Amino acid sequence: MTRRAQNLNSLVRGRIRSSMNKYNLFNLYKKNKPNFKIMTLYQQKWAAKQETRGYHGEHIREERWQSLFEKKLEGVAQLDASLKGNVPSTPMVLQTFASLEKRLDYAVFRSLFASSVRQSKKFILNGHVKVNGVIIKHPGFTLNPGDIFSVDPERVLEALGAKKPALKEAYKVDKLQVINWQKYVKSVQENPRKAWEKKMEKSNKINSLYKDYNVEGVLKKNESDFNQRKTDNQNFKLTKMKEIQNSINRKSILKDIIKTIPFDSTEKVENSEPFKKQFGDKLSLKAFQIYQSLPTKITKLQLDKDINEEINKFVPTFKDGQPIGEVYEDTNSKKIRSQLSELHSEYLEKIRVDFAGKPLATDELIKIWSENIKRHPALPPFSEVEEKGSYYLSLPWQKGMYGLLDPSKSYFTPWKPRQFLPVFSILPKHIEISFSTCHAVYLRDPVARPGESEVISPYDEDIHERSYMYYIKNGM
Amino acid sequence: MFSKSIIDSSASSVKTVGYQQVSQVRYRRTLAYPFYSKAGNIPPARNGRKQTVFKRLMDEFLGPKNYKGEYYLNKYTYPKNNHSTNYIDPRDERGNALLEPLSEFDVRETDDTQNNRRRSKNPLQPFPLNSKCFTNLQISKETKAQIVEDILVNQISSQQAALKYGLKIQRIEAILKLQEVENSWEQQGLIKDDLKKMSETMYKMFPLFKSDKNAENLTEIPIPKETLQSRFLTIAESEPFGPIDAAKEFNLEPAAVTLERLSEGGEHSSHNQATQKKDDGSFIASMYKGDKYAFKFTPVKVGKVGYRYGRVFRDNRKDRKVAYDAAGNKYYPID
Repeated sequence: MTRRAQNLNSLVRGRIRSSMNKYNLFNLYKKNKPNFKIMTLYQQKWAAKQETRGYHGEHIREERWQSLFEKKLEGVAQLDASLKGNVPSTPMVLQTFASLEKRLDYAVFRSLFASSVRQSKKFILNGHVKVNGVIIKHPGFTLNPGDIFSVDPERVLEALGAKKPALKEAYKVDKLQVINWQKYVKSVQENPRKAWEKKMEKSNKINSLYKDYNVEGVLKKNESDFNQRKTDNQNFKLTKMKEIQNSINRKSILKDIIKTIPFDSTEKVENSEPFKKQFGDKLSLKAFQIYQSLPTKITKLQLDKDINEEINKFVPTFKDGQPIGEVYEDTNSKKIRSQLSELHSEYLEKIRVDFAGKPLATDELIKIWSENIKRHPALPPFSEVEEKGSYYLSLPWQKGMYGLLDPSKSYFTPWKPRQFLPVFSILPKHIEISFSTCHAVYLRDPVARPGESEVISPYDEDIHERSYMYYIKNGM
Repeated sequence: MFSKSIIDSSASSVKTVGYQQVSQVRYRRTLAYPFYSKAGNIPPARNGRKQTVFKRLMDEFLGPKNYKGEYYLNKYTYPKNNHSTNYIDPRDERGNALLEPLSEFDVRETDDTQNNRRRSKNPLQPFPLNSKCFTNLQISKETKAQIVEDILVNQISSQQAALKYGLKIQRIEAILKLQEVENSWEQQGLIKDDLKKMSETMYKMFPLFKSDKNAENLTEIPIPKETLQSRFLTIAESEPFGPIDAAKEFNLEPAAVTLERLSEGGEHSSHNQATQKKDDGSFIASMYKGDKYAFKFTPVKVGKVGYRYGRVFRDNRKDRKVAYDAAGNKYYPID
């Protein structure tokens, strides 16, 4: 029978348990060694036994444990030790509780498929654990070297993942998120540049704070999110370029050339300088040539309407293969037409090159960013949500309800690691684990070798020594 | 040391109550205050709630919560993503486990000597009190693929692979087994997004194994049981006596033989081809028309199966032998 679980993680008692609980974390963090100096020998043995048994096989009753206890401790000798010299001593007493590590419930916990030994025991009893392909429902099953065991991945994801929120909790979080998002959208619409700067500052701060940490929602360079944004910007650039290129034809170029020089300017245009701004160094000469060959009456026109009429005479619009309206057919006009065609194709190429070379300006970036930020529809009241069982949510960082993307799962979806997981994740040396399939191979019983013991224990040699002394005399 | 401590403690285990009454204290309950906390240190309660001192101390250690309920400022909340561990180090931090101070007015000792002392502990040591316990190293995906290719395609034996990669034979065999499972799961499409994310998170949390730096010791043999006790032998003073003589005295085989025997097991070992499976004499009887079952016959010795009349059969004994049948059901074999 399992020992009754009663106030296991008491902060006042402060025992360390084989569990990933946050109370247990604090108990582990604040742990001090028992003060053996003020104790009698028996008190020392008793205190050591209490401490070690609180971690090793806490769920097993004392009588049962004493029948599992083995006097003989497993260690290995290294044959090349004599060649090395100065070999540290072998901590044999740390093997006191090694016989527990053969148990299936311990192996499942050690291979990080459960968040505590009691949970791994539950997994086994509920038929989620297989050994060599056979469901074993006995937590005390003794593993043999070479045995391959597996746990249902859903259970592992539940054990290592964050807690699934209740609908009410998820609603509470999302309601707050939506309210804050609306405020943010408002601030962005009021002053996009200020909001952008604030955002950049915040993201820099967070990135430096969580450097090397795997935190949900914190963007890291070289990550897919970053690349995604980059391609998004690239796509935007391409569409912008296409837009500009489509708006350009021979007529628009001609109009631009005419409009570059103001109609009322009295100075004679001597060189291609005024055209450089739009057409660049190379093409400005051609634009200048076209300007020069244009009749003066056109360049002196004032109204847009008149200019457009004249332009239509140079570059006619075709309908059913026939030009519409009057068309100039003299040699000069023909020359201008061919020059325009040449300039048109070269100008399109210039726009393409310009776009490829030039990065998006910050103003443009802010514009795209602020245009894409839109208000979220308000969440329905909870009474409605409770009846329906779900609600619509789509924020830039979260699609679907908070932690309930797939409410049929028993864990936080999309999966994220539980808090304080790294503190309790210890890869065992006697088990080889495959996390992607939730399978593991029990290599051998844990042994002690010079300088280390494969039995995972929070207590050091002098505590284990006293504990061993206690059990070697059948609990005396 | 023990005798000294007995004298020290003799006075403190008896407590005087009242005027002349002396009562024996059965057990003294020492409250588990954090070792770094000074006496009388009672942090403020979270949000002005009614909290015990220990809960307050815990909240002080965990730090503030964000609206999602995460202790976002605690340095142990999130896993690392650069193949490094994130184990607790309370001795150096002395209770300050936050990534940044809560406010600029917070009194924090930030002298350089303390910063330099950070992470003086072995990063592979998970428990601050146990300096003899270390986490294992993760074998990188590339190395695993290489091992599988070496053994299955290039047909090298597991012994050679063990030498090449500095891994024990059992571990190499296990890698092959697990890789097979992984491949079949991938083909069946059983590794879904959440599972992939979990395995990726775990993969990034542990340091990677480098065969030139962290090679396992391949010359390890179990310490023979006999050598754990002393044995006394009378010999002449002039008689030479070395390890080989001692081994003879204990009836032990040479270590080289033990080592070779240990490396024999495994599907892919070089011994596997040479040694045939032993025929235990069992056979499946041929079936005839109308037979419902095929019978398998296995030779056994008298006394190994069934009850023997008159034999002591104690089913209430503590260390009763336990066995499991092929369907995973537990039974008590008769020995």
